[in-house]
Amino acid sequence: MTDITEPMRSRSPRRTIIITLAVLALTWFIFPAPVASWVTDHCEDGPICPLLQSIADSVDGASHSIGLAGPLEESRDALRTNLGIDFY
Amino acid sequence: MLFPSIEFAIFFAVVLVANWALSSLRLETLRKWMLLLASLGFYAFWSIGFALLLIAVSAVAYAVGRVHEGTSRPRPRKLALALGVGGALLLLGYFKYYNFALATLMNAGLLDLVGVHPGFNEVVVPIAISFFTFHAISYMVDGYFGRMVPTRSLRDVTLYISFFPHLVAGPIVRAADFIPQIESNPKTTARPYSAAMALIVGGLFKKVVLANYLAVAIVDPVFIAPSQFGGGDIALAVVAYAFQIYFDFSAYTDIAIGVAALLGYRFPENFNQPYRSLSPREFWTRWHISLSSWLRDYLYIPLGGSRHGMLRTVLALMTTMVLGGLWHGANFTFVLWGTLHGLALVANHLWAKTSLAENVRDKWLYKALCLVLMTAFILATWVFFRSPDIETAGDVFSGIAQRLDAPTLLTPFLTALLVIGVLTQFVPSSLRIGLSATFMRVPMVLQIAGLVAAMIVLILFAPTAAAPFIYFQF
Repeated sequence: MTDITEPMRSRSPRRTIIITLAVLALTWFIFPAPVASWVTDHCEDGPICPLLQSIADSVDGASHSIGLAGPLEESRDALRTNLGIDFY
Repeated sequence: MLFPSIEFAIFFAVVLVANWALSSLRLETLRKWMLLLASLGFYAFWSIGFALLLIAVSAVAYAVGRVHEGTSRPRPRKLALALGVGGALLLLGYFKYYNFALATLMNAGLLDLVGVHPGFNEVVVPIAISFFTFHAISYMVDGYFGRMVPTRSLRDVTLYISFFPHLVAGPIVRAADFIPQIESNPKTTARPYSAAMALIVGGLFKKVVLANYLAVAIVDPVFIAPSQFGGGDIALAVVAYAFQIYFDFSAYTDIAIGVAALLGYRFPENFNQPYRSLSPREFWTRWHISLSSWLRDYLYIPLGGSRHGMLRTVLALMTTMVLGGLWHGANFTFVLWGTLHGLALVANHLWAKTSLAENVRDKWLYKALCLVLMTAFILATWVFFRSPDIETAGDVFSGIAQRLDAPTLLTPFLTALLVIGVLTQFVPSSLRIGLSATFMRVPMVLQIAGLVAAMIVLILFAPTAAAPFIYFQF
């Protein structure tokens, strides 16, 4: 049920799409390694694989070049070591 | 395809954009076909054969609905319902319970008595078969009782039963609630997007971080071999499992509710702080609400409910809970779990009718005692739910009773996870609603920043991969 104090834009599909895609894209840019390795694992010899691999590598490179991915990946590795658990 | 996976992120991003693009172009028929194909593709990710089975079940439900819509004569309506529901239950029985029933009869020596020795079934149980047969039954029963008008579209029935957010592990959405949503072509998201996305990100955190760490660091090692651990660690594992299953299952339904909302569909709530319950009856209004209300409306009430005297009520309660336990899996541990909850509900029912219960109901000391007793009962019954067999459950109880020492598995991090678990049960829901409302009022750029920050925290703490959801096996 719609809350009468709730602005209509809070249910706007356009804003929903913008926010969802922005969050996914930014998360990918900040932590590009999982997507790059996923493309490597799942796309070997399809017709668009070289393109996907190139995009994933470019994002990975861009994130590292501005100093985003490297420190965060190091922090994640350090955290995993400190917690003493990495599984599945 | 698991929710916390790159596959699902890509899949959902494409479906979300396609859903609203087709909607804005007023191509509603195409939009529904797209959602149906996406849902069947999501299921075919596990097995194409099972996707065909899903279509067959939907076709049977649709045919039963057509009979219900086409005639008002009681006899063909009843016959169609009996054939449809019976067929759905037979299918469930064949895939899920045939081997269990056969082994039980064999162990009891009954097959030797009659001289029949059938072979065991070697087919794989279709994932989520318990969920999609219940959806099919809901469609047929709701149509029969006139709770909704059966649709003329096989596509809509198949979309209702196979809709990917609820397909694998619920929540169980009633046909009477969902078919009208399919027919009404939503123009906006079903919840404010900030609330939907908070459910998704929060669900991912509950599953990927909270449930996974508790499982791997405490629960799994102890339940594999309880005799190798002290009583303190075993007791800790029982508590940790209570929070693991809550985080795991509520995470799945939170993500499902959020994903459906972003596509314009509303699902019912499935959890409401279950571990703060003061009675078995209250517990079942807070835990897996969509299943407990389904069992109440489609089994307990048709069996007579509480309207035909005490004996009939007790029988209806016990039948419902034993079958509810068995629904979770073909194992005596689930039967025992359901039976114990049934007995507790019967005791609750009898106690609630006494004058003493009436007198002490509002006293704080009584409520505190109820909370302690209910917590102990829930923890004890989870032992049967988690154990692979009755013997292991016995080892867990005897381990706690015989050598209760200080737990060695508990670390500050795991302690923090358990504290979070307790807090989730007692934090007022008004706080969550208030936070969501505040979030909704900040500029869109800040909303994106907040959600990305939450995703960063999630990834920092996440293990390299997540285990499947517990309820996938049901």
